[in-house]
Amino acid sequence: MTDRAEFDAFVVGRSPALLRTAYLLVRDEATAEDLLQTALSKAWFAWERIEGDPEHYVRRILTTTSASWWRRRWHREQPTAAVPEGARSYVGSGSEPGHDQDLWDAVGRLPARQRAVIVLRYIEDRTEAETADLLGCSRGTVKSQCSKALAKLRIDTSLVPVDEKSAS
Amino acid sequence: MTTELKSLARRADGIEGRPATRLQEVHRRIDISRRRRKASFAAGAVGLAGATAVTAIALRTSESRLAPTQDPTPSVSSPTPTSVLEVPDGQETIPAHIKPGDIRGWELRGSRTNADADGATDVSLTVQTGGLTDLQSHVVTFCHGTPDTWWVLKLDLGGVDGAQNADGSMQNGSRAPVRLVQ
Repeated sequence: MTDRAEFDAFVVGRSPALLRTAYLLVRDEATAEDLLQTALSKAWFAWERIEGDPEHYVRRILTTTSASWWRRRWHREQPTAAVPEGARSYVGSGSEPGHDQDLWDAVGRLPARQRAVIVLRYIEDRTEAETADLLGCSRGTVKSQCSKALAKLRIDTSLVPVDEKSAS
Repeated sequence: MTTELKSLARRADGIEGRPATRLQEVHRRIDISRRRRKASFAAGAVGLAGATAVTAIALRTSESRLAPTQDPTPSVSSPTPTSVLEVPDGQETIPAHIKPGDIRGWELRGSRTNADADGATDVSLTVQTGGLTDLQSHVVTFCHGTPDTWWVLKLDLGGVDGAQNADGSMQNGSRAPVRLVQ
């Protein structure tokens, strides 16, 4: 099988799983598709040199590229007054109505790096070592970023129970 | 909190993107990137060639500036001098005003001081030269009179003439006896 055929088979076969990660990172379906295509096209130029599982390599490009995109103004989310047409409706599984949406929004307010750690470590349930490898940093950095991100989520006003809000 | 976060994974369920055009779009992006890389490589090669040319020109220019200059050829030919200089008794030898190298192509043969004001007294000097048997032979030398006055002494078998100009024209020269020793 030629490199081109291998690559095409990889794109067709592994894109759905990669797209899930991309969506969790950028939180928008169109942007996730854009991120995935960008990562795949970058991976092609290193395809011959990739040793081992190419999915791991592409996933690493996904995370690093999403973080770099976040630093650019044109990729940042813009607050809008109205919900965009066609926005996906989601029925949360939490006991409180809208709690999952609040948590989803709170994760979205985290800095890109901390959000990537939360996505990989908790939402995708990866180990610290895997998360560190995908982000290209040390395990210590993953731990500290996790700690900071969780601390921010715990004090996020949208996630604080009503009782505590009224008490304070 | 971590358990709740794990439940957010379901948010990505049903996300499909654009699978129908994905492969085609990826290859289109690859082609664009390849063209950009070629263009940037070509631009880099042109820039490198330009920088190399400019550097080469700059180096060549600096080398020509640093090259040693050739000494000028004396306008008046000088016979091969001897290194022996006889100083008459009673005269003082002082350090020369003209040092070797001040006038390129010329050698310092001797130095005299006229004790009288304005050089009223003839200065006699015996210079031993070799090969001066011809009446046309002569020695031209420069003397430092005052800090602003340079004298040219032209010595030949008839004596010595003094001049204020370094071009050999004689002015106010009083012929003084000179003895050439072969």
